[in-house]
Amino acid sequence: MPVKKILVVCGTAGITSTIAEQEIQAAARAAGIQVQTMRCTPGAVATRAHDVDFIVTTTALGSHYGVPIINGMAFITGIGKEQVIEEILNRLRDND
Amino acid sequence: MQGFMNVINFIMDAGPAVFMPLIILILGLVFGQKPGKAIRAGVTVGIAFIGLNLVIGLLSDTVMNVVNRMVEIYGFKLTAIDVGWPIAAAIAWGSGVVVPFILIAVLLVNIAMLALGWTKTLDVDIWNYWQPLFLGGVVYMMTGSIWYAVLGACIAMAIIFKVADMCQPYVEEFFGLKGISIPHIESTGWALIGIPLNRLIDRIPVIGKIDWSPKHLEQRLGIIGDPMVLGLVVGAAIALIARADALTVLNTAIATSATMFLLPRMIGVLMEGLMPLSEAAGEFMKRRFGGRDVYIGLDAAAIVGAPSIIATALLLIPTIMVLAIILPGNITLPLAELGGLVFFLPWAVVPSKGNIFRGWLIGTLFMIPILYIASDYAPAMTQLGRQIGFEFPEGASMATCLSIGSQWITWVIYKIQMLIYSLFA
Repeated sequence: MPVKKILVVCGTAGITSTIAEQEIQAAARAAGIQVQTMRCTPGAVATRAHDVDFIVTTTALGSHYGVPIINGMAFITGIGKEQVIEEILNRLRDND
Repeated sequence: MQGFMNVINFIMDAGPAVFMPLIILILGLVFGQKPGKAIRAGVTVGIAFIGLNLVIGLLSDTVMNVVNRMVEIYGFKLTAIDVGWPIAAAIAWGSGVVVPFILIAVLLVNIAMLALGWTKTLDVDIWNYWQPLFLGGVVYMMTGSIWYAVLGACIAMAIIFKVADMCQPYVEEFFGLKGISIPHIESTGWALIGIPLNRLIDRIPVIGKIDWSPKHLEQRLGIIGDPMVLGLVVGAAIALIARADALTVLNTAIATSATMFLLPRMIGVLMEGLMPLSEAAGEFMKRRFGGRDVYIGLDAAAIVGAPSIIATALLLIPTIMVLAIILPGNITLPLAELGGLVFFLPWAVVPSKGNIFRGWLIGTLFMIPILYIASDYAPAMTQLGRQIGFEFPEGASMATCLSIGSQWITWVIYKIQMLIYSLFA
């Protein structure tokens, strides 16, 4: 099974995306799934989106990048985090 | 007591890579973390400062030296180099003994204001405490008074909590973020100016009617939106202007690109170390106030990815370069934050509901004070940076950044505090 790639996007590629990235990695590890994560700024999404399976964003992003986008704001507010983790894990398990 | 202060001073003199791990460890234990986790968090913060210092070394050896050359050749006046918010934030978090006092005082201010019903914003964005920490760090350096530094920092945050409340309906409507507010000084402070400016422009004939809301403009502008590509272009350009040889041009280009790529990575490490503290403080706040009708206060990073904001920021890159050159008295050379203009622009774009022309026009008006304030802050930021051990090169060039320039609220408080101090000192 090929390792899936997630692009984690936030305004700085350093603050909130780091929080989301750590949470995603921890959840995937706990579920026994390997995943590759990268971070970038919103301005760099257009050139990097085609390399990844899906995007998790902690910023308000447009929806026209050609790959699925999951709203990761829950990682920052803590509200509804379990559902978002579930959605990400489902996408990672999904093999089509 | 003297012995105790000697120990404190000895540790502080060792630099932020040494004292910040201790501060984070102690704060972690205060917030009830397990010792193992608190130690790991502390050491991670120390590593981040080592990493940041390495990148600053790279920036100093290349870009700052090229600018020193430009000063020698042309009498180039843009000597305050925009080294980027990561360095300003690192200086703020590393500004010494005031850090824990300000952190706790600002938390208490937020708690008190929530309890009294003076604000609805529950600020869980501990990271952006770097902005009051920077103000406090500068005031402490200038006056030597911890309580005076804490006072200014608390006033700044009290103001931004109120402004965040006021702007929350816009955040909810434009970005669809229910129950979120943005108590982020460098960003939300501009709402106080952007919203009235937008109303004023509505009344101007012709200009008030122009509406560009093109779809996907930010995609058409392509790879220039990527900070690493932007760094390559800008680095090569300044080295060429400095009449450097081909080898230096190539090296400056790749080094500038590397700086713009690596600084957020290093901040990622710093964030990893601050995360347990940030989580603990956030949990603590939510436990006390979570049941009430409050707004969760987040970093403006949560909103800056909107396509109209990205497009406006890209249009402003050439604009701010022109402004930097033509504005009399400006000494700021925009550089590392050219890729991060989005943070200053939500309140140029949101009041007109995403009109990019209006965003560009209001954004241009924002950039003028941003450049002047960044110029004014440059000596203080350079001195504070050197004091905590960052090695900026000797010569004419100084360090500043556009983020500092965009914190006009803390800058006004800083000026008032220094005026009062000069009257009584």
